[in-house]
Amino acid sequence: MELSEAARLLHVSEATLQRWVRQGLMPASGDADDPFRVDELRRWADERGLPFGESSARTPQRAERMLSSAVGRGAVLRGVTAANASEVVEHLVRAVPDLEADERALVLERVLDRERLASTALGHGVALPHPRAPVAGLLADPVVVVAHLRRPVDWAALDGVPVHTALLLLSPSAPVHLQLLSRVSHALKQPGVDAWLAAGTTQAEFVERVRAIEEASGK
Amino acid sequence: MTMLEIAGETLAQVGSLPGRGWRRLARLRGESDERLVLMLPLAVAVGIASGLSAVALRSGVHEVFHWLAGVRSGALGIALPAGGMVLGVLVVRKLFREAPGHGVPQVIRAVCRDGGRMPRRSILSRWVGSMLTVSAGGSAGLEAPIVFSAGALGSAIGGLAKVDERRRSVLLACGVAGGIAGIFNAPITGLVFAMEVVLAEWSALSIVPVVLAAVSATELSRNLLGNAGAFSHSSFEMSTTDLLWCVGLGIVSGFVSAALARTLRFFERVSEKLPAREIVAPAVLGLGVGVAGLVMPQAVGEGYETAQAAISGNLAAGVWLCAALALAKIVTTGLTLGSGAPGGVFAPCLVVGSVVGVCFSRAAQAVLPAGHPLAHEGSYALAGMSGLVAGVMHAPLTGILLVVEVTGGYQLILNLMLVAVISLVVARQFDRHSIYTEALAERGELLRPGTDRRILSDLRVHETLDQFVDPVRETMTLADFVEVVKKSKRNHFPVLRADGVTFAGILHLGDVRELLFDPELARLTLIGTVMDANVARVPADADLSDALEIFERTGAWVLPVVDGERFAGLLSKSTLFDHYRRELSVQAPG
Repeated sequence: MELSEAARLLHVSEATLQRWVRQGLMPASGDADDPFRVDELRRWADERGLPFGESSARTPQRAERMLSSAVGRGAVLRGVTAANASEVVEHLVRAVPDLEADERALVLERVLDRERLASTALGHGVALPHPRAPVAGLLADPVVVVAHLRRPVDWAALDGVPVHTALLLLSPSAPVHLQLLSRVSHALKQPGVDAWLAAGTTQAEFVERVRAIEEASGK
Repeated sequence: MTMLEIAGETLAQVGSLPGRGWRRLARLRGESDERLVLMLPLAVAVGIASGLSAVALRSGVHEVFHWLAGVRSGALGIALPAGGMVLGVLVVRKLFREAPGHGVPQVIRAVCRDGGRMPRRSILSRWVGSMLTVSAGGSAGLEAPIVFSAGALGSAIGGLAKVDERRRSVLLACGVAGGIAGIFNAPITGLVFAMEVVLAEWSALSIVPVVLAAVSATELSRNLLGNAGAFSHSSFEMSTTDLLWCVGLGIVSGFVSAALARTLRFFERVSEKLPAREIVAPAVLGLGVGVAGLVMPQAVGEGYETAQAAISGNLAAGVWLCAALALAKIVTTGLTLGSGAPGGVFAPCLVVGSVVGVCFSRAAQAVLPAGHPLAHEGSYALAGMSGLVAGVMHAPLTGILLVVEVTGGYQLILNLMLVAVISLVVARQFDRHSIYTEALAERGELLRPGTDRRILSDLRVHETLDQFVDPVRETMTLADFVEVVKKSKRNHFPVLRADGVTFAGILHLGDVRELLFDPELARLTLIGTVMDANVARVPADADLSDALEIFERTGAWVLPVVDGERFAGLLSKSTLFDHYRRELSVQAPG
């Protein structure tokens, strides 16, 4: 094994490795091109409690077209009739695909719990209901369900505008939730999106338009 | 003036230790030497006390062993070792409530982990226990028990004098040196054993008191028991040929050392599996010793007569019988000590080593053509003793110097040195740690002073906590969090539950930076939703090596420290490094 390869497996620089060999601290053959044997190196590292092998540290992966895929996995509801925010949330949670009855109840409880703490209205007639903490273990990938309301409802928004579109955001973890929020924010800021949402969309239209936005921004 | 008067006077001096005279003398010598000077009378007191303890144990066992000679040759002789071992184990386990075994690991542990503190009951527990075991014929030595008892004496005297932990450890080592020096009439061995095996730190602060203790204990022992070496021998001459043969003896000694250590461990495991082990293990294994004694009487008891016979060339047996005797002694030692009976491997090492040396010498003589006489077989017996001590205890200096001292001879020094180091090298191929240190090393407790691992384990996480953190509640919105960020210089924020004390997670500024600049989203996002709730947590009572392991595993830079569920503070890799460096400067100056 070459020096550079050994240095990578031991997570040290080549200079450190060279010094260790020079100081006689680790086994190495005299062959400059092939100084180490992997089994020897592993045993040496194990004896000293050093980490050995490919790095296990997670690398944050930028999911391609995250929001459009999440809506693709979810649903878009049109002409939803609801008297208040809670009823909208109930419609949204009911439309999440592939959930067991008890899981659906849990999600509903968490989302309503979050609403009780503070409104999730964004302004401009859009609300982003979501559970208080990411629902671990239920989902492998984020899911977004969109509801277009027949009549806008009051959602205690700061700008006072009644909500005509609500997006239920479900994420498997906090980092994914952060990425999803950033995509939503970016998509909603595009010119014309407000009016487009207010007019109502289908799932296919929604996915297509958001995918175009995501691809244009390189996300 | 008798020894007792000297002892009394010295103890009285210790009593008036904080007196002005000492302080003034100390001040003359400079502040830094003050505490060293104050240690000197304490060291002498420990030396005298441990020397007395050693002499009393040696004489006591000697008396009782001979007193029991009638019983030993009678019908009950076969059960005698078992009786002594059961009593010995009961005394240590039930009466004094201490762990089984020879006790040296506990002494090393006291230095490594407990600041030199040993319980006061340890002064007597193994002293009494080994007296019963060895005088009844158990195959074990008195040296480990005296190391244990005298170490506890040193620790107790340090406790009375209210010295700090480092000095208390040195006084404990003074006791160890005094005990070994007193029991063998061997001051250098006492010094070297205390430094090499127990303290593992060579500095003036430790050497000076330990030397004084060894000198006091030896002088006391000579006054009470006379100035004879444990073994006597005539003058030996060894040639270059003999030196070369010693390479072979070293290799053989190494294998035998490993076998002795393995046998001991084997019987330890056997007795751990027995029910009601405090009684059944010493009874059953002790009966084995009794049976072995019936077949081979030289294999029981402390066995110094056997070693003496080997040195004098009086071992009446052929090569094969010698080998059988060595084997029998190894087995009886394993049976005795494996049962948990109090006793040490020092004496068995010397006996087995001497027999192995004679055996080797006779075998070598047999293959050599006539007319090429080797040196007297007694000289090989001595070299074998060095080899076994070095190989079993992983203590080469102790092995070399013990034999030089107990035989009062310097002529064989080259052979002893050679055999000791070769034996050590061979024995280390089988076991990385000696029987003294392996249990400690397995539990990660073999932490020698001034070493990196010691520093990491001395430093507790709660000492290094970053207290000046800005905890936030999980119900706070990111919009409110912006205000916290404005006033803070930090990148990591611990998140607490609504009760304000329970730890919920950690918020990394970098993760939410983008959202913070989006007021609308920031307003509807709670910290609890986007924090890292699964972050690894460091327990407040962990030591730094545990903490470093968690950092290594998670790749994190900052980790929360929790006391149960309560948030205790943050620990960052960079402050950890600062604390480590400061601790290093304090513990290993220069």
